Amino acid sequence: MRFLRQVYAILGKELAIEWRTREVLSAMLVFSLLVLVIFNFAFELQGVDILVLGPGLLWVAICFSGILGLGRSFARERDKGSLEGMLLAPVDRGAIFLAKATANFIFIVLMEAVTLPLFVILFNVPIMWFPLVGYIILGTLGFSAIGTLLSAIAASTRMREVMLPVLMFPVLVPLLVAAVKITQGALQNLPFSDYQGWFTLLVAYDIIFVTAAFLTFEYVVEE
Amino acid sequence: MTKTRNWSDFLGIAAFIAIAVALYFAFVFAPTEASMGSIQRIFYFHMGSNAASIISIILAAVTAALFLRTGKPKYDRISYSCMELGVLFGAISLATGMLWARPVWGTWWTWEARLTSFLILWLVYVAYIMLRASARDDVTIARIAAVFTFIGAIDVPFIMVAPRIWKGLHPVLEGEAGGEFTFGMTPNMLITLFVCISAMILLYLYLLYQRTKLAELESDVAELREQYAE
Amino acid sequence: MIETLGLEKTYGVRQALKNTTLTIEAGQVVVLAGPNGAGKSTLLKILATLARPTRGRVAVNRIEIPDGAMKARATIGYVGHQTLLYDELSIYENLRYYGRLYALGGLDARILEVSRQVGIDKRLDDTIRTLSRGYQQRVALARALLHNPRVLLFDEPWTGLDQNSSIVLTGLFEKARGDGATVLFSSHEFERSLVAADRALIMRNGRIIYDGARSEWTDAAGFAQLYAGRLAQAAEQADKRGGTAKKKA
Repeated sequence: MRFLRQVYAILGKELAIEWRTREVLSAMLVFSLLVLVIFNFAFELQGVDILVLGPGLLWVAICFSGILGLGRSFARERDKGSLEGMLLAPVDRGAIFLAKATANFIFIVLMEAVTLPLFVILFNVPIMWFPLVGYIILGTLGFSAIGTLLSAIAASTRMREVMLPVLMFPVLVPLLVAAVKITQGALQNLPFSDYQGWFTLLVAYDIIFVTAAFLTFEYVVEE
Repeated sequence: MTKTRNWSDFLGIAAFIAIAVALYFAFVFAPTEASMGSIQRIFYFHMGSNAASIISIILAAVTAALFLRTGKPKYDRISYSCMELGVLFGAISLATGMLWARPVWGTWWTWEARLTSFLILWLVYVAYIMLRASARDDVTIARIAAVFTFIGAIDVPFIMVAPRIWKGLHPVLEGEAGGEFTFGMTPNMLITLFVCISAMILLYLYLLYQRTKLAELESDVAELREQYAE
Repeated sequence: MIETLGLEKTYGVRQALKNTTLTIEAGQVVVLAGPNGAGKSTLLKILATLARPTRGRVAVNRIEIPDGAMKARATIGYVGHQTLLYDELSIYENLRYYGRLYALGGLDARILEVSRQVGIDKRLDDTIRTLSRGYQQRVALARALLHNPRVLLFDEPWTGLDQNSSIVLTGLFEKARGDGATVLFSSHEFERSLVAADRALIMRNGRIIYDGARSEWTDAAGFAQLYAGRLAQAAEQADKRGGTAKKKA
């Protein structure tokens, strides 16, 4: 109970600050829009192509702007030393992780809520909303968990803006490939069994990395 | 001191002999492969370095976990050395893979499952080295790097599986990349493969020992310098 | 109450704290003096459970840390170099946030009480960003006092503090002494800080080289003299030791 209340307090603080500054969300949104526009010029996507290349494009947009938002997550705390404030309090480090990861998850989902319709409109993609949204959220889950841990890691290095993507992409490849393939399957209206393997991989990745990040987080933030 | 010295000398000599024997097996003992010709011989060292780089991440993760549990710098040094050797053996693995791919498939690089997996694993190693290099101070970085090693190691099964499912879904590519390791290996080829993998692993262990020793000496030097400055 | 036994902290190869044994009774206000890099901040951080000791034992309020750190944290108040406040939130929001982290009951009443104590109760709804440095420091004090800690640790609390805030701080120390709490603070500014202290420690190179009660010095100038003398003496001894070590080598 106490654990959950503390998670709630930290999460509330995160959301309140973001509500006042809107710095993370606005940066992510502008960036994902830019990625979509640039890809349009780079590839002149139309017709059939979009069903094949679109999912990759969508996930590249989500991934890049997601990393941008994640970078702020701990940089904000380190700059002001406020992470220390949480560490001083009798708060389980797992609660800090859970709150931070949930906040990041919410921000990224909000960004996706704009990016996905933009993607549909800009590229004229016929879309089946129902399963696709679920898959994207599933992908975002693992993404935010591992991203929260790695952004805490990157924040304590000198070149944190560079370090986050460098650390994140190799670890993220399996999730990204799975998410792209599932999105492809869903966009092309393939039967579920065609991409079931990827679905299993994605779920396994989510479970394992959410757990691993939760358990190792304390070693990253404590001195 | 003399005891450990003997041990390391023994390991060094063993690695040297093993590599010599492996060269004999790969270039003389093993029969020339029918369809690929002599170029196939590089495969033995390719597999050897593959094995070493996989062992490397496992060893690194085990010692990283021990470091997090006990806080003994010894484990961090071993873990760091493992990751550094991972870069080396990963690079050998990728280079031999490309040299092999060129005559066999006509390209330096194909997004073949095994090659792709090792490229990603290699990137994990490289990311680790970059992380160590960008440390703000030495204390926290050891713990942080240990966590990253751990995460990287958990990622390995996924890295290995993902490109395979990818291929499975693309039957078109199957023919192109197919037959990779399924060519009929004669018993002599299998023996050679075994010898080469063992030799590469011995070499790896010897280098690991030396690298860890070096890291230990480096930290001793830093400690002495610190005492002297005082 | 603070107890340490053979406490050591190594950062990589640098020994920030060497074999430190120290007991501070409840009701004592102790000043920690020493040049930069002497290990003052490290000692305070370990006591605040922010850093783990490499060797040795520490107990705060008779709770061993780091094993009992979770329990000990509820009884420790720490103010470091940074205010640990969120610029975008108001004083009240900041304090309420920290109060919830400490799982305090009757939070609003407690916030009001602490705010009055440090004189920020009139500006509770102001955003941190709009406050002066001195005011921010007062909010940081309120943050550290919120859960009514029995051990107060301050790292250079006088730095950048204006005259009024300085009086507030001295008042806090008086009150803590009266309540039987333990106070340990580091400071360079003897003029302002010594008024409040019952006991002084001087650190150099990770060691406590002086530990004396109020009766051993008369005023700030007297203490400054004693401080300089002890440091020079310790430096001389270190030189001698280094000399013999070099001869041996």
